Amino acid sequence: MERARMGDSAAFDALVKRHQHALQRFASRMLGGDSSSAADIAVGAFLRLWERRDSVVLNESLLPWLVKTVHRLCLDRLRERPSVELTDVGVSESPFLDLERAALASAARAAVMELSVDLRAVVLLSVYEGLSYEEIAEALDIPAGTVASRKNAAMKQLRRRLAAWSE
Amino acid sequence: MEMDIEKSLRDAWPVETVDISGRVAAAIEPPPDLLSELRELRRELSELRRTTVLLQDEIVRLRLDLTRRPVSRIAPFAPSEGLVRLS
Repeated sequence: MERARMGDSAAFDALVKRHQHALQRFASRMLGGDSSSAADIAVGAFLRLWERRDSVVLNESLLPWLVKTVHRLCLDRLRERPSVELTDVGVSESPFLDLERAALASAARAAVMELSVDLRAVVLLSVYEGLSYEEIAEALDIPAGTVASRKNAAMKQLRRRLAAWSE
Repeated sequence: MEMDIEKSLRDAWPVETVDISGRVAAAIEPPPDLLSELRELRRELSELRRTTVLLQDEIVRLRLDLTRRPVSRIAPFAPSEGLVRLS
C-alpha cells in the first residue's frame, strides 16, 4: 500500500488483483447475485482508494477499508432499488447435481436474501468470505460483540428457515 | 450442525467474478493524448523558465551599466542636488 500511496500504479494493480474477487463476491451476494453491478461497485471502490490514497488510514489490512466502501456502495444501490430480485445461479453452474440439492441451494440463497441487510452483510463476510469478527467490525463500523450477536441471530434465522432440509 | 449449514450456504451460492484490473488501470492512468499534452506543457514551461533567466540577467546587466554612469541632470535648469545614484 505504501508504494501505491506514492503513486506507483503497478503496486496499486497488485492490490486490485489481490482483493478484486472477494469484493465482487461480497457485492454480488449483497445485491442478490447481480454480478454486473458488483463489478461496477468493486471498480468504484478501487477508484475511491486511488483518489484517497494519501489520506486513507489503515489499521492493519486494506481489506476492511475496501469492504467498508463496497458495503456503502451496495447500500446506496439497494436504496435506489429496494426490491432486489434474486438472480438464479442455475442448476448447471451449481455443484449440486440432483434436483433436490439444487432446490436446497435455491432455498439457501433465498434465506440469505431474506435476512435484513445488516445481518446479511455479517453472514456474507463471515460465512462466505471467512473474515474475522475484528475485520468485519472494522468494515461495518460496529463493535466485534455486535458482529457476534448479529451472526448468531442470522444463523438462528437461517437454521429455522432451512430446518426442513436438515432432516 | 452450524458447520453443516455454513457449508450448505457456501455451496449453494457460487459467484462468478471477472478481472476488473484493466478497468481500474484505465481509469487511473491518464489517456495517451493527455500525456502528450502534459509533456508539451512541461516543455513550454521550461522554455519560459529559460527566458525568465535571460531577462533577469539582462536586467542585472542594465542596472550595473546604469550605476556605472556619472550622475547627470535629468532636467534642464534643475539643480543636481538631491539626485541619487541607482544601486
